[in-house]
Amino acid sequence: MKTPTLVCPYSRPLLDRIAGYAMVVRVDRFADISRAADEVRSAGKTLQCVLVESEMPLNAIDFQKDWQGIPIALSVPAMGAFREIADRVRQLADLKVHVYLPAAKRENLTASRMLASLDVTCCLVFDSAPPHWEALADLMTYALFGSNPHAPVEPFNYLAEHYRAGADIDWGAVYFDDSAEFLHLDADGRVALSWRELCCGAFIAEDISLLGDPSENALYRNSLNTRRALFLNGHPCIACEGWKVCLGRFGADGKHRPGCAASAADLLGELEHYRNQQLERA
Amino acid sequence: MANLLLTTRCVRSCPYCFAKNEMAASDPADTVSWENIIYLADFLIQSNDFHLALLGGEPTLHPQFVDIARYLLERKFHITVFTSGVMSDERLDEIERHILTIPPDKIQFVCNLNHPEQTPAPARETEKIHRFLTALGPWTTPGFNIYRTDFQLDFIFDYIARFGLQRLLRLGLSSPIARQNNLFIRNDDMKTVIDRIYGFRELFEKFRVVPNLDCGFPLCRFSDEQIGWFYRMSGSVNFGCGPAIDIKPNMEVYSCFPLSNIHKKSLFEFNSIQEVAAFYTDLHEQLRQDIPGAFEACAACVLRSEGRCSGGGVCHILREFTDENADAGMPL
Repeated sequence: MKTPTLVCPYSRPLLDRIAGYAMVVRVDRFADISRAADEVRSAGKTLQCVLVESEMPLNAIDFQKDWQGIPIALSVPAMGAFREIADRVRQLADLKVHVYLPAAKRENLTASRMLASLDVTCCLVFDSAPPHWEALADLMTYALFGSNPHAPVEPFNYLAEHYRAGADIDWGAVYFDDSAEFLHLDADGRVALSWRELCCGAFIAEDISLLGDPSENALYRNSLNTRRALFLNGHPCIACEGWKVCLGRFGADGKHRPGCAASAADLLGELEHYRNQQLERA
Repeated sequence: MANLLLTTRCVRSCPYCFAKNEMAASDPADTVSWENIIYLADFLIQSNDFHLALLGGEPTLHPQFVDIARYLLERKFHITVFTSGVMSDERLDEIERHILTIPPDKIQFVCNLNHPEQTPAPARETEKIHRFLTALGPWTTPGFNIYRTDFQLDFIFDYIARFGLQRLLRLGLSSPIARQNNLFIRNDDMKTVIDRIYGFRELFEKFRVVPNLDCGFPLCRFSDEQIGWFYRMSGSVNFGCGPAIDIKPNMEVYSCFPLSNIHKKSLFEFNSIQEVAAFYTDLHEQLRQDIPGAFEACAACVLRSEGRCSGGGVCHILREFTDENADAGMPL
């Protein structure tokens, strides 16, 4: 395993203890974005991104000039009325802000397309509620084949870049949630394989200094087998045509079938088409 | 410049309306989706065309009218909104807050005005138009549709002065709708209409208002003196008729409202707006092969064959064709 990137809360004592890792810093307040970025960078560490989650819609957020040059993953429940952000959308596009929107709300699929068409990178977040599958498929087509240049719509852009025929693609990296690349720390420096596991206290090491080589860690290795367990248990997803590009992110509990299965299969087809198109162009 | 119908609903019922056939045939709930707006914006940008007119029905009835306008402006479009000026106070407030920050060279409104006595409207409607013009005068060009030969224009000059409207008056001829009966200016009345517009020249000159003739005015019905005056006032005079390119909320496309009954296509069938224009220009040419113009003299007319006049509107030509073949039951 390559050296993971650490996703950790903004805590000066914790940041001081970490060395040798690239970092994603989670902040609770907008005012901490530039402060956290300054502290990480001034300590000579690599800042991959600052994460911030807002309960306010995008149009209610005051984008700051000092965010310039800081990669920011901004999670919001919705965009809100476009009229309220129209004057600032150019500023948003110039900042390195990626806007994360819940895919379950149909208006967020539309908002993603609008923002992407205005050069703002967007990322859909899939949770337990199903998206409007037809609108999602439509957005997927726009993201991959839209006639005009536009900003990436994730995870489709990531999938297009990483698609290899026949191979599984884990797009968790879009959410800093792929244990092959990211480990999550709490304020005490305890290490978890994912945000979800961090929240429920499932740690693989009591301190980052005790982690050693993650690939030697038994809990880490077990986590890699989680998906295999689905197959051993005869989970409905094992027969899904789109599994390779879904890997359960569209709903591994099987509640959203057949919508999720059809959508994943569509996605697989579109990725194949996209790859062929790229090959033809090359 | 293409025209996008944001909705097919309208708040007025003008006696001359040449869109009512299209409006009546549409679902009133039919409003353009964001997906289609973004598709159209991409389509036009790919076509290197950055002008778009927003129509209806009444375009401000679209619940997201302000958002749509602001989005298109952010995509670098120049927008013309064709409105009746009749809208809710809430919508007008939204426009004032979010559109009036944009200079008039980026977005303008064409407000179609009816004479208060010749085409009377309820007092509340007139009140709303006045509020709209009070708020948006500098962004607004008045428009007037001519559907009777005794039309009055003096009230428009009063409006221009009172509300500070742009000093350009868009004059449209109410057109016949193919296969339908509606109030329109007949070919025999064209000269009367032109003479009447010319009769208001003192007001045009006094208020320094430019007369802007819409499509379908036949060159031969103007005297040389009239042509000279129109040219002097506006710098160019239009005697043509070409596809306007109207796009419905569902991306159906047709040449213009009066021809909305025939040769509807889907915008998705085309790769550029130039392709759409070429398709409908070709259609116009085909129609003109059978009947060159709206008047008998058009067949031998040098000005028409040299392209300086289109021989009236295609809608008038179709009207002739329909009348001629009505008994024979010939399909268009």
